[in-house]
Amino acid sequence: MTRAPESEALLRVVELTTEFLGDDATVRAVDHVSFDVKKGEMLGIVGESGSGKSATSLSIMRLLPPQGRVTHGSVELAGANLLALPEARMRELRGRRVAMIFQDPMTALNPYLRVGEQLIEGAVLHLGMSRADAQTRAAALLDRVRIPDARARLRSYPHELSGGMRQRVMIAMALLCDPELLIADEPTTALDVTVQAQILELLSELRRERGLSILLITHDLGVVATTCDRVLVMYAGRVVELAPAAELFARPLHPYTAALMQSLPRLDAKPGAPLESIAGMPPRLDQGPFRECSFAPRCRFVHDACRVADPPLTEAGPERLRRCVLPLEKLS
Amino acid sequence: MSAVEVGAIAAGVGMLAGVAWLPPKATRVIGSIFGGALVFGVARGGLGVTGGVVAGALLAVLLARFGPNTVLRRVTFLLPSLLLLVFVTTLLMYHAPGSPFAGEKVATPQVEAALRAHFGIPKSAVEFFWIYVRRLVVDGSLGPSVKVQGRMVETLLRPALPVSIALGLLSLVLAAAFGLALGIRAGLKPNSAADYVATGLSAIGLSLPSFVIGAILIVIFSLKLGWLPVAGWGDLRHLVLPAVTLALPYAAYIARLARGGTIEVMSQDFIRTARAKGVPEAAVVLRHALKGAILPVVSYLGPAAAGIMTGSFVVETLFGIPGMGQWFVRGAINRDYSMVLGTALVYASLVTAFNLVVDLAYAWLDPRVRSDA
Repeated sequence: MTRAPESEALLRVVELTTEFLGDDATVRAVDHVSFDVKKGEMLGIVGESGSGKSATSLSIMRLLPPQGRVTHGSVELAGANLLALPEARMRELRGRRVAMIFQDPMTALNPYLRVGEQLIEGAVLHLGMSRADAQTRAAALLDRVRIPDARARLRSYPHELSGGMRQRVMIAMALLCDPELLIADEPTTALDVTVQAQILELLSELRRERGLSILLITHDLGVVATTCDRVLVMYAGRVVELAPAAELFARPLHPYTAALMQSLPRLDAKPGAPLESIAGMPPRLDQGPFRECSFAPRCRFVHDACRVADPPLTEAGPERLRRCVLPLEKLS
Repeated sequence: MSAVEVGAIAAGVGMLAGVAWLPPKATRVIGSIFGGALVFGVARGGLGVTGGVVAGALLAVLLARFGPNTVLRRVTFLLPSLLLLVFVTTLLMYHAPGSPFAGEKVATPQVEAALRAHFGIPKSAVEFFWIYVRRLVVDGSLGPSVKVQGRMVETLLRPALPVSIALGLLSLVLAAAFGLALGIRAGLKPNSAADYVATGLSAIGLSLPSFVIGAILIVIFSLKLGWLPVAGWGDLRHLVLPAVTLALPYAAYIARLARGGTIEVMSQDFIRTARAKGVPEAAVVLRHALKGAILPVVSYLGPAAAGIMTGSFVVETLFGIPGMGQWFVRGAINRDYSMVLGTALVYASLVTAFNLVVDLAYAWLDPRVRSDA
C-alpha cells in the first residue's frame, strides 16, 4: 500500500469500520476503509448512494446517529487519534480544526436564527472572540465567498437567501475558524448546475489560498474530475479503487469505476440513444463478510476467480490501488 | 330560521371574508378605527365616556401610526366577528326551547308583554339583536339580567372576571411550564426512562376528568396533609389546587406536543450542522432546537386558553370559586339571554386577544411566517 510520509498526511484513516445496529441485523456501512488526506490536498470520495461515503465522513467527525458505531480502525488528525479523544476534546476540535459542509444548504442552516448569529457562533466559541469582532470576521468571509452586501446579509434569515447563497454561507461558516481540514459532503448536489460550478471553483480557490485540505464526498464523477487531486472509489462500504484523478479518468482499473464512467451521459452520443447504466443493485450489507467479490453480480468481466474469495486491495502501479483480480490487460 | 336570519348570517360571513381582501391601506384605516372603538367600549366602563373617547382615540392614532399589518388585519376582523357572534348566539338562544319568561308561574299575556318590554326581550330574535346592539353601543351596557332582578349583567360579571382571568392565566402558565419541561426532556431522549415517565403521566393527565383530579388533590393536600384550603376564594393559597386541576390535562397535551416537536427538530440537518461546529450539546438544544420545538405548543396555546377559560366551570364549582363559569352556565340554564350574550362576548374577546398574542409570538419565533408584511 502506498502511503504518504508521516509529515505530509494531515488526516490518516486506517481500517475504519462503521456499523449500524438495525432492528434485526447489523449493517456494515464502512468496511476497513483506509486513506490519507495530505496537507493542501483535495481528495474525492466517489460512490453511489449507500456506498458508505457519508458514513465515513460522519465517523471521522464522530457525529454518527445513535445507531451507528465505529467498531474498528483509527482516524488520526496530525498524529492524534480522534476516535480515542474524550467527547469534550472532540467538540473543541469540531469546527476549529475540522469543519464540515453538507449536501442541502436549505436544511443545513437553522431557519430560526439569523445568518450572522449562526456564522459567528464558532468564532465566539473556539477563538474566544467578542460578538462584534466575530461579526467583522464573518462579514469579511462572506465578502470573500462573494456574497454581495455582506454586512447587511448578516441580518438575513436563511429563507431570504438563494440555494447557492446559502451554500456560500455554509462555506464561510466552515472556514471561520481557519480549519486545517474541510469535509464537504455532497456540497453541490442540491444546487443548479451553474451554481455547482461556481461553488466548486470557490472551494478550489480557498484551498489554494489557505493551504486547506479538503475531503470532497460526491456521487458525481464530473465533480471530482475537475477539482480533486486523488480519487477514492467506494462500493458496498469498501474502497475499490484509489488513483490520482487524471489517471483514474484516463484509465480506470476497476470494472466498477469503468462502468460508472460509461454511465455518464455523453454529449457526443446519438440523440435518443438509451442512457448507459449498471444493471442490478448494490449488495446487502447486513449478511456478514463477502464470500466473493462484492461487485461480481453486476460485473461484466466476472469469471471464476471472482467467485472464489473476496479480492484484497492490491497495488496496481504507482499511487494506485484496486480491489479486483482481473488481469489489467483484460480490462478494456 | 326565517329568510331574514339566513340572509343576515350570510351577509355577516360575507363581510368577514371581504375583510381578507381589503388592501393594506384600507385595513390600516378601518383597523385603527375599529381598534379605537373597541378600546372605547371597554374603557368607558371604568373611565366614563370622556375617558373612553380619549383612550379610544389614542389607541386609534397609535395603531394607524405604528400597528403592524398583521395586528391591524386582526383588529379589522374583530368587530364584525363580535357582531356576528352576538347575532348567531341570539338566534341559537331564541331557537332553543323555552324563554326567560317560561317559568312555572304562568304569566298572563299582558304581564309577559310588559316584562318583555321592560327587559328589552321581544319575541323576534332580529328585533332583540337590534335592541341589544343599540344598548351596547349607546349605553355601553350588557343589559339587565332577567334572573338577578335589578342588576345589570356587567355589574354581575365585573367581580367575576378578574377571578377567572387569574385562575386561567395561572393554569395556562402552569400547563405550559410543566408541559414544556416534561415534553422537551422526553423528546431529547426518546424511549428513555424520562420519556416513559412523561408519556405515562401525560396519558393519566389526559384521561382523568378534572372533577376526579380535583377531588383527589383535595383529599391529599387539604384533608390528609392540611396544606391548602379545601375550597373558597381569598388569598393565593386558594388558587393553587384549582389552577393545578385545571392545568393538568393541558399540561399533559402540551407535553405530548413538545415531545413531538423536540424529536422532530433534533432530527433536522441544522442540528447536525451545529454539532459539526463544535457547539456544546446544551447550546444545541437551547439556541438551535428550542424555538422550533415549542412552535407546535405555541400554536396550541390559543385553543388551550379558550378551553381553560370556558372549561373552568367544573373546577370553579368544585372549589367554590366565584368566577365567570357560574354565570356562563347559570345564564344558559335560566335562558337569561343578556347574561348568555354577555359571557359569550367576554369569553370571545379574551380568546381573540389571546390568539393575537399567540400569533405575534409565533411570528417572532419563526421568521418564515413573518414575511406577511
